[in-house]
Amino acid sequence: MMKRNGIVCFWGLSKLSMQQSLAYRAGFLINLALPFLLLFGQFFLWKSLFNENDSDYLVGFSRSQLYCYLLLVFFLNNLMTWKSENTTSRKIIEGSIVTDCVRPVSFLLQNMANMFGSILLQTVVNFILVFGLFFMLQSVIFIGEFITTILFFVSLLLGLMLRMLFIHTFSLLCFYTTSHLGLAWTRVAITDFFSGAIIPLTMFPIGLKFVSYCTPFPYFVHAPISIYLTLDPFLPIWGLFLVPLVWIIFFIVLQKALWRRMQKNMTIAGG
Amino acid sequence: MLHTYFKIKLLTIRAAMEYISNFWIMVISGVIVPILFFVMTGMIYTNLPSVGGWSRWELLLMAGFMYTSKGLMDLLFDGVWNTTEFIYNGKFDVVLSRPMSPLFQIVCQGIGLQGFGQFTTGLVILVMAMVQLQLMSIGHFIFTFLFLCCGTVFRLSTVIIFISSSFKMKSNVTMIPFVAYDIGEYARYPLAIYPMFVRIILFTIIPFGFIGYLPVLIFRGEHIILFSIFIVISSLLYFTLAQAVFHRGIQSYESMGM
Repeated sequence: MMKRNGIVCFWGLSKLSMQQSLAYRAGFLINLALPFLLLFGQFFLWKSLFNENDSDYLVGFSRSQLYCYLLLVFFLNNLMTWKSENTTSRKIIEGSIVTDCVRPVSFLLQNMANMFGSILLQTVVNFILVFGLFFMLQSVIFIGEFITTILFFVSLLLGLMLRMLFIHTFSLLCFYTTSHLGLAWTRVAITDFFSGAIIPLTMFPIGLKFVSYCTPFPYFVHAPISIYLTLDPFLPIWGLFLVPLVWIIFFIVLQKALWRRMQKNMTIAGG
Repeated sequence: MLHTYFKIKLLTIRAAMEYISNFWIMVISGVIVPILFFVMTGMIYTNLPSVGGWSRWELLLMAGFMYTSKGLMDLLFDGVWNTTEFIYNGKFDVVLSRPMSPLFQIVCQGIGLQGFGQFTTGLVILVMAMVQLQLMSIGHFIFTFLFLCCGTVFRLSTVIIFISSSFKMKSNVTMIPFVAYDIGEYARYPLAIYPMFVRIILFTIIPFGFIGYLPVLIFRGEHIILFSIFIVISSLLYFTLAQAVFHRGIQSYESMGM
């Protein structure tokens, strides 16, 4: 019964978040489709790098694999919008976090539901765009096997959950500083670099690659894609599922500890 | 007007320095991106011989121009990013009621402390690249200063033009100026690698090609006088256009009832 209530609350709050995003429809649609333009720049950059290289392979990728990599990076890296990533931080800075505190639902659940609501809309748009491109470019793009596609989606879900938890936990630092923009920019820059969203981790020197795989970041983007493309893995396949699971547990425990500590120190004006 | 501008900026810096940890978080956030780009460039050139026929230091020279001008933009004109919030929250009413240019007031607001980090790191990368490419004459420094000023004007004008869409959209968040800015960042790589339509965009609609690419072409010895004059005149024209677009946008502004 308790579990069912949690799911109902989660879904209800997600729907609220979706409705909030859809309140300004024109702006919403433009904001959803605009990141698609960024994909072209990446494509031309890598195409040029490929053309300058005599070999059929570039940093471990064939041309069809690299185009597929770019498409999937776009799909995965743009699931989180700037707005959805910074909702918790903004609430803390503005003080509207108090409404989350008085609701009879866990703080973590509320914020995860909020992020999930906006991600769901973005996923639908990104999926249509990427699926359309896969369909149009099927002759020049790498198409994975059925089993790797299934594993890709499982890894994607794990990565997404980990990313949401990471962002949420990181946002709690706003209880100590009002510089939420600085925190968000630092988080985005480090995430993009170590997740493989800017350049594939296959280009990293071995030491840096090892460090990256010890962090949660590669499991957001690079790990699901490397499963789909059957790239030469740095970790065994079970490791690509086990490590993000360990990180998920770590962030849940960390979030609980931090939130308990912050609740004690929180002073709410008028409360 | 300049006196007022610097007075407001000085006050903003003093206020920001009151919260020392906030200050350092913002500065560090500004340092990280250029440093990661520096590392990434190293990795690319370890795996590949060249990018668009350019050497590593030429690419870093271009990045140096891009990041230093970005730092200057954030330090001097960061307030322009608040336009959307001003419109959405109705604070723009206050701006309109003052006997001073609305654009000037918006630009004066706040300071992007991350600009300290970006400016410093960008300048270090720029100087390192100039040393490596042996561009150390007085002439090179004068040209560098000129290109940085023009680059900052290009950045400011681009943001003004694209953020003016907020007058029409009336949403509390708009991605249009951010995406335009991100597209412009593709000018961190030699534009020759892009097809013609992308190059046209990067010299017209989002003219970031003038910030780093053209200055490096000049330093490579291509059409020195012609390109330099072109950069200066284009920056002034683009700023004039930005002012016109902003004032046109104001006409679409719906007041909160003042």
